[in-house]
Amino acid sequence: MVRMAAYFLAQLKRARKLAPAQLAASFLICACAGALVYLLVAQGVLDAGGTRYRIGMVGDLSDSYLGFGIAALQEMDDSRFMIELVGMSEAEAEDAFARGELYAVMRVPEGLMDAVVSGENDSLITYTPAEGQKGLGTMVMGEITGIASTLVTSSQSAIFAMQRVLIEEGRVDEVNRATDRLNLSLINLVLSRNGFGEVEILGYADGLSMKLYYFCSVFLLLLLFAGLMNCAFFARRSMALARFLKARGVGAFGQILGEYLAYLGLVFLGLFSLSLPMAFLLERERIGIPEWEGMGAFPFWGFLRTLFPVVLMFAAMQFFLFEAAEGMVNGILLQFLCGAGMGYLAGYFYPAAFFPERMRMIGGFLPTGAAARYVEEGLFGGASAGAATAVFVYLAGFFALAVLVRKRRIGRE
Amino acid sequence: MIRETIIRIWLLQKRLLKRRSFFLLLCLAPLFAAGVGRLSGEAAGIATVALYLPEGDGTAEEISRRLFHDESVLRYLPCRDEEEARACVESKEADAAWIFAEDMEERLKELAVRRRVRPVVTVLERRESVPLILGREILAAAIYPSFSYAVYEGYVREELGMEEMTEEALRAAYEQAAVEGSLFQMVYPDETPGEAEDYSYVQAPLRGILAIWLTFCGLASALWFMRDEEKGVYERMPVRKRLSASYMACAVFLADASVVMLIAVKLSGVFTDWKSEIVSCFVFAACVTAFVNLLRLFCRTPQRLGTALLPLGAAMLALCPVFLNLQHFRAGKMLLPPWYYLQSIHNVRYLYLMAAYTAVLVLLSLLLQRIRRSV
Repeated sequence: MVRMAAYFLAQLKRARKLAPAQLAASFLICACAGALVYLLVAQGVLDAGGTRYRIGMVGDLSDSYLGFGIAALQEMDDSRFMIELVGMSEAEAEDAFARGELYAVMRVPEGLMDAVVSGENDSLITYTPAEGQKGLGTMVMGEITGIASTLVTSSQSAIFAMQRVLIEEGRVDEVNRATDRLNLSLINLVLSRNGFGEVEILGYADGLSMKLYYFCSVFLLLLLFAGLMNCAFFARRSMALARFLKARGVGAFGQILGEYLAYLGLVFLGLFSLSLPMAFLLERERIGIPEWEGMGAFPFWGFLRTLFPVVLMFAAMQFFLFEAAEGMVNGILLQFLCGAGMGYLAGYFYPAAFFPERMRMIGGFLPTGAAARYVEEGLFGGASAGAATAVFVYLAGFFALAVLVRKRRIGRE
Repeated sequence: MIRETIIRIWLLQKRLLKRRSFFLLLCLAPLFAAGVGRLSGEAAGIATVALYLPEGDGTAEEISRRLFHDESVLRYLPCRDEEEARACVESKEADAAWIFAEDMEERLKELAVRRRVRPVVTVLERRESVPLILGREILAAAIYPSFSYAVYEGYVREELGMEEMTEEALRAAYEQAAVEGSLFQMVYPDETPGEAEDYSYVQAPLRGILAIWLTFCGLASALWFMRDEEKGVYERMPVRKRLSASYMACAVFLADASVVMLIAVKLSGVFTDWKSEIVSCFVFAACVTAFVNLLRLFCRTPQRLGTALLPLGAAMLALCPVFLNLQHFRAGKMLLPPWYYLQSIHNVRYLYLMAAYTAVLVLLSLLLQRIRRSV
């Protein structure tokens, strides 16, 4: 026991040597996050209205109907809150696109309005997204253009059908007047299309708001990847020393326990150094989280208490991964892949609700899923026995596995 | 010289692949990509909507057909009645419920005659959110074709005074005049149409995750070289030759990782074509080699480089278009190799930019090494 304590103290000394680097990294993260938030605020992205996607419109915009259509979209339609359409020349658009100022460039082909009026629709509006490859943003944009297309083609169909009926009835002279009237009616109806649904918002507060969800996710991710920041702790470990210690009565369990507790000290130091500026910002109400509004940093301290078992579990997992990977280089790769993979499946990047059923189920069973559930329940007054058990079972499991791997290594001559 | 280089590459490669754990680690990336790719085939959506559509109503059936299509970003749960739809929302199974009126067809006709938009669907939402706002637009667009038909029908009968026209005649005129197809087409800068890529948003971030993984492989290789340097493996090599040795060690490490990444991208379902994938991956690996070596020279010790891993990983996750595509911070993005790679898939301009950035990094490394030697 005494030797075990001595070994722990030796490890603690090693951890203390790494503490300045740990603090520097935390400072770097805070500085980067601060710069990011400052720039977002300066550019108005975090304003109440949120960000509007700027789309460059290029091509033949000379038609008065098209000009009216764009103006109507920007002035009257609900889409004006999400999209900003800016008419520009091809060169201007190319330039702005290359500078990353546009979300997409839309090219209006020559004679588009003639094609729309005649119902040919053979010249398509093409758009080039800023995203390098298809992603959630382009898929949402595809949905929006699909909606716009449906609204236009359905209106076209109604007008052309009406014109056809009039022509078949021999009332050709009435076509223009009737077309204008039906057109106006349809434009009015399109602009008020959201009235088809009577919206009733139930206002259930049993789930986290998006802001709190991502706030928790960022903390969980930092804890999940803490092994990368502390990889130096796992460098220069020799099995000769482990065998020597075993011979002196400090077995695999004692070694792992001593190292783990010292490592925990590093992880907590990192968490603490990141929490202080966060608490300061919350106290000053610079971070607006709906659930914590008007409460300053008080709920944040409760959140940190909730995180405590998760810190223990993630640290044990990182410990096991470094132990299993043999060497720091392999350990880093394993840490990243396991962290990114498990974090993704458990909904740390996209909410888990976005995923298919089976993927959500797998994500829920993973250590990251158990941690997310524990934290979410913890924020609503206390984690259930099931969530707490899952976290502690993983903690014990990873610890036991780390001990087993060390034992095997010590035994391997 | 060439023979010596080949021998060195061969020895480095042999040393790497001799370690079973390294080989197994490389296999994890394709396994993860293939797993997510396979799981993403199931129904998913950025919001789940419980849907109640009355049975036997023609309009409701048309709307249902428009809503249930493969490309939808919403997931629908068909319900037998209004209570079931409500229960789905209350039990958190769904984020919203769209409960259509029992007499949908008649209500739409009635509204169409008056040319007014009034509620025909009860939209229950747990709480307001961006996906559900988009959902309301999707709902309106699904109803609108039936409504515009009803407006046309009402207009012809009431306004144009053709009450005697039969339903069949009106329908036939409409179907003959109906305009089909989309007005929009997504194209990438290399003229590839958007439809050429057939995968869901669940798979979309995989390329980005793998790109960051490759960067981490590069960082790990730099650490590997630094550890070797500490152990005295390169003791007999003159310091001026160390940079090329480090480039070689990283290149060998990244060559294996690049092959694995290509396989993983193929298995994940976000693959484009062999030629562009190989070219992009090759330039990316070269860029990562130069990037990690410059970082190695800056950090000097494995401890410092290790400490930089988390801030760097966080920066890559936030600034590269993996999960979100921020329109700002271009200067920050341009420092990160995965950003160029992810943008270069359909835009050859970024491939050239990535090559130019690689050249800048190499020059900076040479300069830094010279300064270090002269100090």
